[in-house]
Amino acid sequence: MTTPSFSQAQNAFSQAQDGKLPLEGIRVLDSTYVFALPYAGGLLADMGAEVIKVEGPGRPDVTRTGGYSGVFADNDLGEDWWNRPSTYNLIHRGKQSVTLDMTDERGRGLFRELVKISDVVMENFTPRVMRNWGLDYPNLRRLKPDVILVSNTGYGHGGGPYSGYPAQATTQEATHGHCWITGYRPAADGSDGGPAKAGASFVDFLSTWTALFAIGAALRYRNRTGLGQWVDIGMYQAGVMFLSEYVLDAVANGREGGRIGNRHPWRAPQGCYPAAGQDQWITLSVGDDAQWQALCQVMGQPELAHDSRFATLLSRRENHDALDAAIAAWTSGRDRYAAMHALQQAGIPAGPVLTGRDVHFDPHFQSRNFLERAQYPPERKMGERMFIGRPYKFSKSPLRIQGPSPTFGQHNEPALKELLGLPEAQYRQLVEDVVIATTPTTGEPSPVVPQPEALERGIIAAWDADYRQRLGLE
Amino acid sequence: MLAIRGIRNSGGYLSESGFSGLRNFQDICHPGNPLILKILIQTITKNRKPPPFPPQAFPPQALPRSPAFATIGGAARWPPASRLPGLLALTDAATFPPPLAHGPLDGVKVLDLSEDIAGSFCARLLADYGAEVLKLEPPAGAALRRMPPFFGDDPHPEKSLFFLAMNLNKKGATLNLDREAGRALFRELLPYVDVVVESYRPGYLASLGLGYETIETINPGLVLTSITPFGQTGPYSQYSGEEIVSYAMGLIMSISGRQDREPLKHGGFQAQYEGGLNGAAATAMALFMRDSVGEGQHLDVSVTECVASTMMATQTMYPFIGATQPRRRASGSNFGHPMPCEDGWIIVQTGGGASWETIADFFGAPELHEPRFADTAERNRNGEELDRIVLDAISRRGKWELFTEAARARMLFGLAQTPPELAQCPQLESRDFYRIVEHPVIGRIKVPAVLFNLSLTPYQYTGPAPTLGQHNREIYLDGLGYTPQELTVLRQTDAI
Repeated sequence: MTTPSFSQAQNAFSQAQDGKLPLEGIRVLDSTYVFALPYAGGLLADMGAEVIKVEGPGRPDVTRTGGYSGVFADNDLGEDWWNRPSTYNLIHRGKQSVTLDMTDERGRGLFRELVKISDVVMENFTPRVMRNWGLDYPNLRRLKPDVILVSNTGYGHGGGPYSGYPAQATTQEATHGHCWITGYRPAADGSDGGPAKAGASFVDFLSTWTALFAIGAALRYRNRTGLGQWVDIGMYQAGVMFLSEYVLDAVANGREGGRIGNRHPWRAPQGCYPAAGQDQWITLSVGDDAQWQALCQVMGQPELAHDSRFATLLSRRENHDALDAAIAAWTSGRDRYAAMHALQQAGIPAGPVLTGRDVHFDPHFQSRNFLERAQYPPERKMGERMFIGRPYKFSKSPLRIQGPSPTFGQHNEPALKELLGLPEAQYRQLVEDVVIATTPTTGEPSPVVPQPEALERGIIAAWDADYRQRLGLE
Repeated sequence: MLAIRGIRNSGGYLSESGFSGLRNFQDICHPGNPLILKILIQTITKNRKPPPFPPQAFPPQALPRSPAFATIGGAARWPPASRLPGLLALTDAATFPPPLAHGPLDGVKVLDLSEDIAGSFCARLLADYGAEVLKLEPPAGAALRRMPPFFGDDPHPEKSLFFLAMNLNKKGATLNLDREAGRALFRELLPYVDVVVESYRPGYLASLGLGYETIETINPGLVLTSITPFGQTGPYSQYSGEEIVSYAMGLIMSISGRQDREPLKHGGFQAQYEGGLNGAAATAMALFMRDSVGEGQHLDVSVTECVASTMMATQTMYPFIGATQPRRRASGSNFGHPMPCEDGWIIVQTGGGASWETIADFFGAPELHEPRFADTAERNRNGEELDRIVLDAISRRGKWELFTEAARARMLFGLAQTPPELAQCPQLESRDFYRIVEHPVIGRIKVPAVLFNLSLTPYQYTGPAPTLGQHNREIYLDGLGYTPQELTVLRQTDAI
């Protein structure tokens, strides 16, 4: 295998520091909640867009309150807990925050004014809500003829039987077929743990990225033709698209699909095996006879290479259980990183199971600056935090997290008074009537559990008391 | 006479189809003549700007900024008469323009060098939304042609259903990058295209003299989209990827599965699809910027980082409280996880528009109204008892009946659909998600087609996946102007 030579490419991608950003000069009105489109808004801000997040004074984003908010900075509610949750801060990086009570006509009026000076509007209400407010696409188009409206709903707009159904990623993962093909492989005795959920809110992110693609394409088209349009995303549909080969196997061959755990539909062996240390794991995948021979060498068991039970891909699939035992015997007690390097040097795809902690210290993620630091102003009492950046680099555009998340309603004054020209007297009236606010009028913080107790209750798997020092956070 | 069709096709949004635009060049061009090639590049470059809306100055469509806007919309004009409430009342007659017969990426030309799922899916999405995509395969065919499932379980190179799904709407030609004649053909095509999608090991194209630096010299406006397991840079960039490895290193396996067992991978090839979708998103953004600044760039998409990008709660838990998120406990409440009912599996989540009282009524078990299940903390504490009651309540009820009733109660509810059920789903039919494809070898088949809806420039179905080398003559004879004799030589020397 060739020696890694990435220095040249590294240089090319680090020269982007002073380049232009793709979305400079684009304003996005982000009237969305939870994960999918709000995260798209954060990623648009990374690309240089000015993103104005709109929340109701009595309808703060659910990433601020309750079970979707993750944890609070340093497990401390502070004086403004609603600005301190982890998922809120990751998703809303680099945005501006405006609060508008959309149930009040004055709030909707200001929203319309913001629509008139925005390039892209994003919303994820159920279909009837925007319509009842007169903010559906036909009406927005009258305000701003070339507006690009992005709607994300569970099942998509239109007259379909499920279009009005409530939806959210957790339950959709089952409905769009994902759970059916995810889960531990049924055991030899026939016992089957059944379909399973994997990851967290998986299908939300398919909408996030679909929105980015649609916005990029629609902006290009608008730039050429002067014409805007309506992007209608249904999460369910995006989820099914990601199962295309299963659907085609059903259509063409009548197969139902099912669960094969960590195995591969045609490669063998493949699996997730124990490594040295508490809850440490290494994955590997062997695709052909050459890789199998190489694995036998790496494991120091050349005799296995001549074992007829494992001589061909088919026989390896048939005797996968025996292979798993042999591989696990080798991986157990071995350092997961050392195992990865040895296997990869021999040309075998392999890698350790990394945790949310590991990603901060892995040399590859570090080298690519996958996690980025956001510096908070002193009054936020958040110091510096690290967040997932994005999975793509542009050689000439320095995409980056442009700044920390805003506090609730932080940009009410600049957006409404300076941008829209709202007179001071009216602004003060709106504050008084709580059409705008800088403190949410509803919502409770999710419970704060001290880390030692959380560890005992199994809410967390491990914790480092000195995490700030380890990360060099200010 | 020079390139009349070329002008129309080199970015004009009215063009119907594109590589035919190369046709007229054959009269005036002898392939390989550097002088002629230079003129052609200039011609193409000059005509790249499409009528009738030339690209605007950067930043694109810049909006009035404060304080300039405040001056225009000063206090005296607030609230202006036209903005008074009531004047924008809903009219049911409010309509918007009917859809056009082209996508938002109309006029964009793409070379797809990828042999895998991620790159192919990226280029397919570009094709679905209007780009003209030419898949360039090695003479033996892209690796994806050898991947199951196969139509009728027949492992024929034209019958891979995976290849079909990932290559709809593309044209196809063969081209061998390992031969100098093949590389010359590739260089000849570069001036005419806007995007190259590739998923080779980082450094491979550069080792052939076809890295971004070279491509940029030939066509400065070109966007090169590279999708690889670990990205173009970093110590693992040369390492081999596989689906399970991207899941392991993308953090998601660390929270999937149960604590008493090994971490669990997602089913299927989700990471590959994620890489393709992110590649398409990045490409669309780079094309938008290219239209304004005139320059393309090299995009580096990492499949593993796509997976890791979904781990918002998992990653932030460390810099926020120093903690690591675990997998699911072996016991505890099944809420938010699939549960068996009479004829399948369902999933329930609290929250949304339904109160706990509504959910308790839905299951029809009076015990659920007891205080020990009243809030999330209590339900977690009494999770096993809760499960027993709920599982008993649904054991004699069917998944479809439960699904419909739960929607009526405004509950967050799902059922584990199987692939055959998805293939017959009335909701997907109502969204026109599937298209019937006529494939020359497979025949008529229903395929998942539409990722999302666009009101003005929607998804377009233009054809099935190409057969191996299907458009060689169109591209090399009609497009680049080679003679049939030259084409024969290229085939004999394994260049195509």
